[in-house]
Amino acid sequence: MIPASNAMTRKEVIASPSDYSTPAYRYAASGLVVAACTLLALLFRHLIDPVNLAMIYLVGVVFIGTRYGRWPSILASLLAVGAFNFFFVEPYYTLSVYDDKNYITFIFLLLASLIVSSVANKLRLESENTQRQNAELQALYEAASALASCRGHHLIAETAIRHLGTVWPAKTSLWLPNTQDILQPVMLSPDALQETEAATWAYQHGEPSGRHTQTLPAAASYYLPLMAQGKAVGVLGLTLPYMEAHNTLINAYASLIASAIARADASELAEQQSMEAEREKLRNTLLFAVGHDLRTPLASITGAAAALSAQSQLTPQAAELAQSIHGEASRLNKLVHNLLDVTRMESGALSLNRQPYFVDELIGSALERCKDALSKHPLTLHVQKGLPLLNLDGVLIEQLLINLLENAARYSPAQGTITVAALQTPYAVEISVSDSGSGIPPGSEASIFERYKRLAGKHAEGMGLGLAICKGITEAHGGHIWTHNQPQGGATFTFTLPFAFNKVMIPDEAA
Amino acid sequence: MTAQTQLLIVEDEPEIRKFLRITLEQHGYTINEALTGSEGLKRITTYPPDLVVLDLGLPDMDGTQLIASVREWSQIPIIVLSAREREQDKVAALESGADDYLSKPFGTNELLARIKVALRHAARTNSKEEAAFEQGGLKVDLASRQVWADGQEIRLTPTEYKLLAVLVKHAGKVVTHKQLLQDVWGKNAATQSHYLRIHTQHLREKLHDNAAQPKYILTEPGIGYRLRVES
Repeated sequence: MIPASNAMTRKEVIASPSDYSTPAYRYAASGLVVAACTLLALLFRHLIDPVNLAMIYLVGVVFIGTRYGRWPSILASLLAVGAFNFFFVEPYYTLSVYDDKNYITFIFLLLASLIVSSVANKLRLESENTQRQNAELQALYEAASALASCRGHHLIAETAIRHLGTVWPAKTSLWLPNTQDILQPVMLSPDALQETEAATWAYQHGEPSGRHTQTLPAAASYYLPLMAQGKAVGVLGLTLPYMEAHNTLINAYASLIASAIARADASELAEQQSMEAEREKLRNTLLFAVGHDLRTPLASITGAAAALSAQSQLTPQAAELAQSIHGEASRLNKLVHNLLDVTRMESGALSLNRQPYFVDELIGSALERCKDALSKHPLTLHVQKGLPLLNLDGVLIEQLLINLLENAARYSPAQGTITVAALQTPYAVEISVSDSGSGIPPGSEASIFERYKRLAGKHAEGMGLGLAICKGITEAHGGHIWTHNQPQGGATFTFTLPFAFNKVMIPDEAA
Repeated sequence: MTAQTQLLIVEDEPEIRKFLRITLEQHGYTINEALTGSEGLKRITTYPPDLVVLDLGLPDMDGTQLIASVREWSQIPIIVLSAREREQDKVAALESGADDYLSKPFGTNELLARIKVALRHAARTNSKEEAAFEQGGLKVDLASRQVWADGQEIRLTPTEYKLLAVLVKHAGKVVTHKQLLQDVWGKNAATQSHYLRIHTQHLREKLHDNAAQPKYILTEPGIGYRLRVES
C-alpha cells in the first residue's frame, strides 16, 4: 500500500507507469542478477547436479521478470543460458559443447525462462496496475473529502489545484466564469499556461479542447469542461504528455470538482434567498408594527377633525382648516390601512373567509362606501344579469373594488365618468372599473401592480400599495388582474374571479 | 318626551373618548364615560343609560363578554366600535346582542345615524310594535302583510316576505346572516348562507332594487344585511 503522505511515490506510480519506457538500469540489473546466480552456482557446483544448478538461473530470471519487466527478463534468459553453458557445461569456460544433448537443455532452459518471465511480467504489471488504481482511488478520496468541506469558489479552486498537484506533475489551471459569464483563470499551478481561447471554447461548447483533441490542438494544455447537471460550470486545464491512461482519472477529478462548484453555487443561492426572505420578513414585521401603532392616533385625529369640521360656530377660515385636517387624516387612514393589508398579504396571513356572494351586491356595497369620493363623478353601470353565486371573501373583494374606485376617482377629472362593468365568461366573472383620466403610461401596465410603484404626476399618492393589494386579493381568489388604456381615453382595470377557484356548492332545493 | 338622552361611552383611548363626547354633547346627548369594561358594566348596572357605545378593544374585558352579561337582564341598545378589518369581532358582538357597529375610523354622521336608529328601535319595542314601514319608494304593512314598491303592490313568496319583515323589524340596523337564517329558516339553517343570498336576490328583483346601486337593501360583506333608512 502506498502511504497516503508519500506524494512523490504516488506521483511516480500514477503518472509514470513502467510500460512506457524501460530505464537502462533495469538491463544492467539483469546482468547483475545473472552474475549473482553464476556465483551462487559456482559455490555449490560440487554439491548439486548441473541440471539443478540450472534452477538457480531460473530463479534469477523469475526475479528479473517480476521486478524489472519483459525485456530485461528476456535478456536475463539469454545471459543465463550463456553463463550456464560457459561455467557448468563441458568444455568448461567455453561456449561450445561436447555433448549435443546439452543443446536441448539450453533450449528448454531458454523456453522455461521466457515463459516464466512472461508470466512474471504479467503479474508484475497487474500488481503495478492495482497499486496505481489504489493510489488513484486514495488520491480521489482525499480530494473528495477536501472538496466536500470547502466553502466558496476560491477555496475549491485552491484545494483542487493542490490535490491535482500531488497526483500529476502537470501544470494545472482552474477556470471559472465571472458574473458576466466570462471565463477567467481562478487558480493556476506554478508555471501553468493561460490559454484563454481554448479554455473558453471548452466552456462554451461543453467539450474538451486543446492538446490531444480536435479543437485547437496546438495548445499546450488539455482543457476539460467541468459539467454539472449538463451545464458547464468551469474548465480544468492540464498539461500532460499522454492522455489515454489517465482519461478515467482525469474525468473523475473533473466531475468531483464540478459537483463541488455546483454545490457551492447552490448553497450560495440558497443563502442569498434565505437572507432575502429574512429581510422581507423583518420589513413586514416592522411595517406592521408601525401601521398598527399609527392606527389609533389616526382614528382620534380623524374623529376630532370630523367633529371640528361639523362645528357651526367656526369662522370660514377655521372651517376650511378643519376640513383640511380631516381630509389629510382620512388620506393617512387609507394609507395605513393599505400598509397593514399589504404586510398581512406578504406575510401570508391573508386567510380567506369565504362565503357565498353575488358580485353585484359587492359592487353595490363598495359604491356605497366610496360615496363621498365618487360624489363628483357620474357613474355608469354595466352589470350583467344572472351572474352566478361565488364563494368569495366579501370583505376583501369589496376592498379591491374600493381601491379601484378610489383610484378611478382620483385620476378622473371633475365630472369625469367612472364606469363599472361585470360580465360572465366561460371561465370566470370579469369585473372592470374604468376612469376618464389620462390613462396609464404605456409600458407600465405590469409594473403598476408592484408594491411602492407610483405614477408620475400630481395625483401620485397611495398608488404604491392600492393596486398591489388588488393584485394580491385577486390572486388569492385564483384570478388575474390587468390594465389597459381605452381608445377614447382613460384606463380600465379588469380582474377575474374564476369559477374553478370560487365555486359554491348549492344543494338542489332551496327552502 | 323624556329627559335628555343618556349615553355611556366605554372606551379606553382618551382621545377617542374626547371627540365622541364633544360630538355627541353637541347633538344634545348627555355623556357618561367608563374607561374599562368592568367600570362600564358597573355603570350600566347602577346608572343604566339609554344607549351604550362600546369599544371592542378594551384592555380588561372582551367586549362580547360584556354584551352577553348585559343582555342577560337588559335590552339596552349597544353600539360597538371596532377596527376595520376585524369582521369576526363585530359578528361575534352582534350575535351576542349588540345592535349595530361602527368601524374605526368612522364619520360623525354615521355615528349619529346609528345611534338614532338604535334609540328609535329601543323606544319602539318599549311602546307598541309599529305596524307599518315607509322608506323611499318602499312601503310595508306588517299587519296586512302587504308590500308596495313605488306605488305598485308586490307579490312575495312567504320566504321572501319573512326575509323582508325581519329587515323591516330592524330597519336601519344591521342584521347578521345568522340571525336572518334563524328567523326565516329556523335554528338549524345557520350555515346555509347561500339560501339567504339567493332569496335576497329574488327579493331585490321583486322590489326593483338594483343590488349594484341599492335603494333599500344594503349588503354588508362579512356581516349581514341592512335596510336603509334616511335619517
